[in-house]
Order: sequence, then C-alpha cells, then structure tokens
Amino acid sequence: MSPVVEIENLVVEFATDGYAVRPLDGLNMVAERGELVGLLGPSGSGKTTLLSTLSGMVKAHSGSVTVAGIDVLALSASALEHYRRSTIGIVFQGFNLIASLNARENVAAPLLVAGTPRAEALARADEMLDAVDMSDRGNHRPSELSGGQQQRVAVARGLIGDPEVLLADEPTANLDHISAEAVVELLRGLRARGRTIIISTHDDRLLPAIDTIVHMTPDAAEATAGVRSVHLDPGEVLFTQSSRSDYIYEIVEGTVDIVRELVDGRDIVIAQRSAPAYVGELGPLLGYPRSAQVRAHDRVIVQPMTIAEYNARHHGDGPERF
Amino acid sequence: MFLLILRDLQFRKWRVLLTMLLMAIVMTLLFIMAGVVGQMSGEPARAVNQISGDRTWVIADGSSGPLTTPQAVPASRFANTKATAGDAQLVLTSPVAINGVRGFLIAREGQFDEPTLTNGRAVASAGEVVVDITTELSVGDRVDLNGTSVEVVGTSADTTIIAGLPLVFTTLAYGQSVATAGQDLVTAAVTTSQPDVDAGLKVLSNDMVAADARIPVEEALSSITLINGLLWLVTIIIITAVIYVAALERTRDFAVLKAVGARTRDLGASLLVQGVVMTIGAFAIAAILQRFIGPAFPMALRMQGSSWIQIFVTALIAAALAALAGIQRMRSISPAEAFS
Repeated sequence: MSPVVEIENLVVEFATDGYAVRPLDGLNMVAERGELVGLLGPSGSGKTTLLSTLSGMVKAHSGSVTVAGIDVLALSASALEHYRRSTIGIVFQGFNLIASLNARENVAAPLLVAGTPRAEALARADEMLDAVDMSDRGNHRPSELSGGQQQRVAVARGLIGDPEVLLADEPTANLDHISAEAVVELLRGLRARGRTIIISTHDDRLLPAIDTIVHMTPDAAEATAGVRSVHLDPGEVLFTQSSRSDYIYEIVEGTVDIVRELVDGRDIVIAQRSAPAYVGELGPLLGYPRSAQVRAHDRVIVQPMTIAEYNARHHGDGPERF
Repeated sequence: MFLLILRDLQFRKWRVLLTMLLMAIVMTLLFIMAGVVGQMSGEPARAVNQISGDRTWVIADGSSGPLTTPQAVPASRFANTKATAGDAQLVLTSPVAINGVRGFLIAREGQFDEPTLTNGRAVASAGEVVVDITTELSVGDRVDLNGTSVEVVGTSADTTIIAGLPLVFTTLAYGQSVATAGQDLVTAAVTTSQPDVDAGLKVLSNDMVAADARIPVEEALSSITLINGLLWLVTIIIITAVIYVAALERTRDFAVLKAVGARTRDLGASLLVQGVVMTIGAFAIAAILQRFIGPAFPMALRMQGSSWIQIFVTALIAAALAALAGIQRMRSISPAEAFS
C-alpha cells in the first residue's frame, strides 16, 4: 500500500531582503495511513512551511509532494481550493477561529464554504462538537471560550470534512496540561480511525503519542571534542549555507569570507573575518542551520570546537560564554 | 456563505448602521438635488403650457423670449397677425411686484382657458388676478400689484418660471394699467394657427419659449450636476473606506476561509453583497428621510420616477466599485497567513 503522504527532495525557497532562504532544502518524508507524524525542530526550521506546502499554500522550488495520490504541486488554483476542502483538514496555531461566528458556525465553516446546505452543515458541526465534548458551548463566540475550548473547536473544524490527512500546527501550544491532554486524546482517536496526522510541535507532552518523528534540521555528525586544526586553501568551503551547525570555529590564521546566496542564484560576500576571530558561533547553540556559507579567502587555519570547549575556553569571560 | 455574510454584518452592526446612516444622509441630498433638477428643468415647459396651452407665440424680433426678455411694442404691430390668425390673443408679459415680492405678470386678452386652477375661478374682469400657489395667497386675499390693490380670485399650480418666480395672471387691459401705465403695449400674440408675421416680428413654438426660459437656470443646473457628482464621490468614499477597512480587519478570517477551501470568487462576492446590502439599506433610509426633509425645502421638489431608478442603480454601481477595493485586498491575502 502506498503512503498517504509522500515528499521527495522538497525545496522551498523564499527571498528575504534579496537573499535566498531555504527553510526546506531537500526534505524527504513519508506518512502511512493511520500514522501520527511529528515535525520537530526549532522556530524557523521549516515546520510551518512544510504544513503550508502540504496544504498547497506555498509553492515549492523543486521536489514533489503527493497527498492521497494527489500531486499537490501540480494543482491549479481552483483544484487547490477543492483539495483543501476535501482532502485535508487544518488546525492552526492560535486557533484562528472567526470572531463573528459562534463555535458551531466556526466548525461548520469548511462545509458552508463548500456549498453544503446550512442545516446539514450545522448538524454535522453539532456531531463534531459532541466528539470534542463541546456541545454545550456551540452557541458561544470565540471570545467567550477558553484557550482549550477554542483549540477543541479548531480541531473539530479541521475534522468536519472527514479529511484523509489532518495538518496541525502546534496544536497544544499555550494550552494547560488538561486541555493539552484532551487534544492528544482527540489526535489518538483520529489515528485509531485510520486518519493520517501531521503535527508540528515543540511540546514534549506530545512525544509519546507520535509514531514517527521528523527532525526538521539537517542531520550532521555529532560534534566531537578534541578535533584539531583544519587547513583550507583559498576558495575552499568550511561549511555551506543551510547545513546543520556542528562546530564553532576559531580562525587561527588567514581570512574567511562569509557568503550568502542571492535569490537569482549568485552569491555575495557579506562580511570577512580574520584571525584571531570566531566564526559560526550561533548555529550550534540555537540548533539553527547555517545562515551563510563560510569559505577561505586565502590560506586559512581554523580550529573547530564544541560548545563545551568554547565555553570552557571562555569560562568567566562574561558575554562570550554561551 | 450567506450565513457568513450575515454574521459578519451582525458582528459589525454598529459600524454598518453608522455607515448606512452616513450614506443615507448623502443619498437624501441626492434625492433633494434630483427633486430640484426635476423642478427646474421641467418648470419652463410646465409654465408655458399653463400660460398658452398648445399655441404658437409671435414676439418682437429683438426679444429672445416673452418670459425672459419681454419687449413691449404697440399692439398695432400685431394687426396683421390677428387678421390672418383668427384666434390670436395679445399678451403682455412683464416682471411685477406682488406684495413687494418679485413675480411675473401674464396679461392676456379674451377668454382664459389657462392656467388650470387649483382653487377659485378664472380672471373675469379688471382688478382680479390668479396667482401661483407658491405665493401662499388664498382666494379672496387682496394684494398689492405694482402699487395697485387687486383681488386673488384663483390659484394655479406649475406656474412658476426661473426657479420659482410665481406667475400672476390678469386681463390684458388691467395688466397694461399696472405695467405700462395704461399704454396699449404688448409683448406677444398667441394663436393656435400658423400666423403671417410682419417684418420685425418672429414666431416661436411653445418649446422654443420654454427653452428660452430655461437658459437663466442652466448654470444652476450645471452646478447641481457638479454637486451631484461630488455627492456620489462622497458616497463611494464612505462605502469604499468601510469595505476596505473591513477587509483589512478580516485578513486573518479570509486567510482561514481560503485555507479551509473557500473560493476566492465566493469571498469576493460576499464583500460585494455586503456593499450592496449597506447600499440598499441606505437607499431605504434616504427614501424615508427625503419625505420629511423635502416638504421643508424652500423650493418645490419634483422627483421623476426615473430619478429614483437612476439613483438606485447608480448607488448599486457605486457599491460594486467600492467593493472592488476590498476584493482586491482580499485577493492578495494568502491562505498561508492563517499559519502565521
């Protein structure tokens, strides 16, 4: 049986201040029917971008995205509207309920915009509210509901079209443990009914319920302490833009160029650092991919070090220490 | 989708009501302007019809028309006209003061079939006048006509010229006594037949007389047209601002609705419907307001049926144009914004 969600070599590129930024760079992923997939990674690692791409809201630079047999990247605008109505359900971070509608109407909204008769849509919304234990709050507007109640309404809205795939962006963010537990139970129930669920999260409480974890930052070898000098010839690359951050480098000799890729494919030197100096300090600490390429301007000797080695070297030096 | 439109209007009900009220006030002014235009543009034709029925006018060559530039000439100049057109009647037209207020005298010889009376009877003898009802005089009132006391024996309607100047009808002889110091001077002859005219005279149809009487108000009508345009502009600005601001405020809503599969054209239609609903509401309020404000307006207003349709259709077009700004804003919203 083929996977419900299949992503191959997906690249999504944005332009930020003229520079090319790739929140997704060669991503591969599959999700089977009845699987709960968790996207893990720090802010900016592309979790929300991936959900937006799966829902056809963001155009990919290259690669393929197939959901329930549909080539999402090849859909026309009107076909995308139909795809979002019929194939996927979405639960947004921060609920995103429509303030003018009550809970019942918010849940019914996807059916109403699809042209389902009002009575039928509202009856189905009542069923969904019952399923999330919110049937007694159906006539309340979002402003009259707690965060947990709003999230349950948002989940009910995501499910009302009985989608094959549910995409949930931080579904437990800002929820207390009781509300979060209720949401986790809902997701588990869905999975048990054979629905495929893809969630982005940093919430550890969700981890036990997740079948497959997708790390959104690129893989890299674990940084090893004690690595000594690296020699680079002019033009040789120390690390590339978007690669996984591992070491902090001390420039012992020579000068390096810090280079950023432009939208048009060219690159530009945005800074230079000469010995003695450090380069690539923030990425390893924050878990971010490298934001620029670093290459030797002339003959360069650098010394890689782990965060621990760096901290040890700067122990007691104040702001330099991480 | 109708439910979503309704709920949004309910959610913003005070703003919607305020907008409709503002638009209604502007539309009321448009109604009044249309009434003024209807009155002023049709006034000359109605007045000429009340003066002379379906007759032809003969006037002195030097005059542009008997109601604007009356040129008094001896009655004998029309001898040939009277001879060739058996029913020709001499007429004296002249500005006149009635109770110290400006009016316009129509003194005609012979029997009077015109004007149509709203009250009283036709003029039968010297010292009697029929006046337009806008003078607010009543049958039996005695009034001062160029320093002479006369009795109002009848009142008429649609007998004003040049934006409300009331006509005063009397006999030719009496008119000559108050307007030409008793000299046998006249300004025109009217006849139902095609007259021969002597040199120095010319023939004008009723339409030509009416067209001449409209010239003094043409500038006023042009000004009103300009004001109408400005009022429509205000209407469009009000509704555009409201719809555009609503679209800005609803950025997240539109993103969510697009994300759950709403068609962009349906969302655009919902903005259009909201604009149209507000416009229809404003039109209804304005139609009621003008009923109260119209009678208090110092000038008689005459709304044509076509003016109602014209204002309604123009308002709908204005609403559609106004909605375009909001629709353009809505179209630019990406469903991905729902994730942000």
